[in-house]
Amino acid sequence: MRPTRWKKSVVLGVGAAFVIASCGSSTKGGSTATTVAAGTATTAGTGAATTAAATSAATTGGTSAATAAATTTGGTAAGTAGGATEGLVNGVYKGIGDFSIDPKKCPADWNDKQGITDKEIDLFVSLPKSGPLAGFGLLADGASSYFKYINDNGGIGGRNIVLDAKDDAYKPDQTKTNVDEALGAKKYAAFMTVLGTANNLAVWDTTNDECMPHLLNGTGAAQWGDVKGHPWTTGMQLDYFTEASLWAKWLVKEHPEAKTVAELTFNNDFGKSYSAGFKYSTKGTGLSVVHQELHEGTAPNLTNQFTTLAATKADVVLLETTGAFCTQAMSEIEKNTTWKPIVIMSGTCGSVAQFFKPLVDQGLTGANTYIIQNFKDVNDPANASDPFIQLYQKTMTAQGLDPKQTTYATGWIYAWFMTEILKDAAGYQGGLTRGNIMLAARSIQETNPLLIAGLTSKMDGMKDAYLTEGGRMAKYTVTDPKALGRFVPSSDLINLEGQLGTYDTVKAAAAGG
Amino acid sequence: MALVTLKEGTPAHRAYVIGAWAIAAIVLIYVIFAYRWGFAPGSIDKAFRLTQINDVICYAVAILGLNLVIGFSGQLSLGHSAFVGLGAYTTIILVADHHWSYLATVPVSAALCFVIGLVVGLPALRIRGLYLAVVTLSVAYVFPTLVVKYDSLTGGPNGKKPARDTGKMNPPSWMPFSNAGRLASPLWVYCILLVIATALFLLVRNFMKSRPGRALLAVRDNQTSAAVSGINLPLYKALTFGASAAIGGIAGSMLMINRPFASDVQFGLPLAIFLVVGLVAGGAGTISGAIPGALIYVFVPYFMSAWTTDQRGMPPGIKQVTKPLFDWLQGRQGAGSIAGVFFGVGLLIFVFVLPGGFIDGIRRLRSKIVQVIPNPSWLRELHGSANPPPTSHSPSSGGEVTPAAPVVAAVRTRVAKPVSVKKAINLRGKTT
Repeated sequence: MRPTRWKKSVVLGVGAAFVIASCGSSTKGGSTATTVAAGTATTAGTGAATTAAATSAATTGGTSAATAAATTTGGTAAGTAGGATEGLVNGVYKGIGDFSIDPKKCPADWNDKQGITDKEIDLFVSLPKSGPLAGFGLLADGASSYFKYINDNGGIGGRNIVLDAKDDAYKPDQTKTNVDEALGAKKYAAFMTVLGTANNLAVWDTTNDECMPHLLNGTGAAQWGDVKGHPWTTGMQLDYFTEASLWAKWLVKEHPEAKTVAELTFNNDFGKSYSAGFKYSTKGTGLSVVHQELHEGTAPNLTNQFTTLAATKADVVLLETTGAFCTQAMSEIEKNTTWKPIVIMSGTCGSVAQFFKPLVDQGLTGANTYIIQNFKDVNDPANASDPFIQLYQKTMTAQGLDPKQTTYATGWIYAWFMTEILKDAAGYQGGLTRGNIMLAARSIQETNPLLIAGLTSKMDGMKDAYLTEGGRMAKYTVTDPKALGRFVPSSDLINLEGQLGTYDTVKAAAAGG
Repeated sequence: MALVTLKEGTPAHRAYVIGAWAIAAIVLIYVIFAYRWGFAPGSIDKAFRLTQINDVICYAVAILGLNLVIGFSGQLSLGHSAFVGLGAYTTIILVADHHWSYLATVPVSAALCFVIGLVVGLPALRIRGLYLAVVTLSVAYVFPTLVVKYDSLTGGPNGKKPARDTGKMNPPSWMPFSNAGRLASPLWVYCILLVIATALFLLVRNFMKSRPGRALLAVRDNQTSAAVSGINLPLYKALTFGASAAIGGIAGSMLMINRPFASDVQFGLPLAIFLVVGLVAGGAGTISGAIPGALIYVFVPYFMSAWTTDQRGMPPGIKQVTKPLFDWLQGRQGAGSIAGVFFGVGLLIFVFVLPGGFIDGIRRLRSKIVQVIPNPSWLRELHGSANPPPTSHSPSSGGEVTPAAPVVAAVRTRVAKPVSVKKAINLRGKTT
């Protein structure tokens, strides 16, 4: 057989497959579950999980939106001390919470004004814009749209924020290529919201060696609190470890009768993070994990796991998984007529349309499943009077983007934090420099207007390396079994702000089992 | 008729052959000194571009290995990504967990992949064509799953990398660029990879000119007649799979030397498919085809993606035409996938314009400019009297030098040309 015979048909087939695959993946990645979704669906979580009704219109969002609007006047010009004690003092950048940066430890050609001119601040993001997780690419467009709003209203002391986005198709080696290129270009002040746990882990040694601010990572892994080993890297989302701690606090307070807990855990870092966080927070309480079932990303279904879990007759079941496994797990539990545990599910599965709709199609509901929420849903009518959400709706519509896409709103959350960081940095000693940007990122005190009222987003240098550490339990409530329900808040806010500290706490907890 | 005709063995012909090689060598060596000499087309003096060039070298080796199985022995294997991945993980695990030096891991990768390749090649003894393709595809499919399954060893979905300070290979002080700062490491890696790749290319080239190499071509062209001619089919097929996997493993190790980070998605199905694409686009059954194949694999998606995301660095004429399209796509879900569409369409056009691959296109172009006329007496002299003179040339030539003659010459100089097995064997006057 000569190669020429099949060569043409193979290439034709492959070529056609590229076209089809590319077109196909531009639809919403609903079936992205399995292995890759593990570290990633989280971003959808922050945006999409917030489907519940906010309790009232009297939120702190009002003041925060005003803060955002004040950007126009905010941001004193570079070089003015602004009376702040933080900043470049005697050759060392000193921030709050004992956090400091010695520029002498950076590469010899490190430039603290790189990417910052009188007209522009250049930022970089690498995230999937193609492939199964292409939907997350909208995050960058959302962030850019907020930056455009800021720029149209004066920017940061007259400087426009420019965000360059590059596609990595969620492949860590591609992320590394993109980041290497961006580092080599020597034109970016900072990186923000690089998406995916593995993707960030692939690059964070390099960004830290290069003294490149690598901020607000788009993943909820607990590693981003490693302020000692990786001072230049920060996270944003509620991390999985803390989320599981919130479950524990809620159970102890609201369900003192619950004693035994069964876990369904995705057999990877993501699932095990939850597991470690729950065990850490239940020490000394009456709660005990009686059984843990692990599942692989390749598992065809969870029937075996649930046969075992149901046999434990545990009071509580924790669904520490994501993607389609959430739907499968809820279905298994609902079909079981004898075991009726309290069901708590990962916040990454908060999208009603994505994870509960398939249940309705099967004649099930998924009712009474609990999840943790921490951001407001921009599309919930109950939030319609929130000034920041009004600003979001108005700006998005004016820019020709669809405000219903919650991933855009997630982009706004990240961009809002980035803007605050830049504004703070501009007020530090020495003005807007990369060193000060890093100090500001580790000293955020402002509360994001999209956070549920009462929650805070704070960082405190070496003491508190996690930004959002609180949330509210919400219950999926169904009135008509044939239609989709909604998440109804079912607890007071639980705010663990500052309690987790740094990644050292998580490491110690994981090591202690 | 070609513009220039050169008779084999004449000084002009020798100058032509040596000159071509010399230019290639000068270009490859120039890359090392580009940062110092100032002239750096395509920013080859930048660390990032050098890393990409290093990628090209690695993937060229991977495609070279794949070519042994697909191009030369005619068995459709789609599982090559697994061997590249296996080699990569072997290197990264030995370096990260056992503190080996990178280079010491290369033979281990090669040996391990050779053995696994032999095992995977066993089904090839019984099944052929598309069935073999499906079997080997399953290997490519399973590999990332295994990586995730044994995450304590491989790092699972979070990937594996060496400890923070030990990731880079730094040049010894006697190298001229040892103090070139950020460029030192990628340049040193370039030198190492270039040496490994050159050795492997020469090895495969010489192998294909040897008796076992011709036997391999015989297996590809007609298994039955190859067997009748006394070729041990199972042995050759299994060994080819093993050798191909070993070269793939070395390519994996090289990738880790260049960019010490391995993750499951890097060595999944897309790589398996892209390697075949690279092979076909470069030219299946040609040794040099691996190089354009790798260039296509590394640079085409890169530029497609770069242009569709920010249109920077795009040729100005095209930019004006495509701007409305990209503006329209901006902020739409999966807008980045347009790069994939362009790549697919480009590939379709490519197959129709250059059906034999890039190298075939170059050769056709070259044949319009330079024609080498074979000189049998010179060849006899060159190879000594061990080979009796060929009994006849191809029937159409009739003793006179016609356009058919270069084909015969090609058999001598480049075994890769598809030529019937009997002719190839007859020329040597032997039947294995």
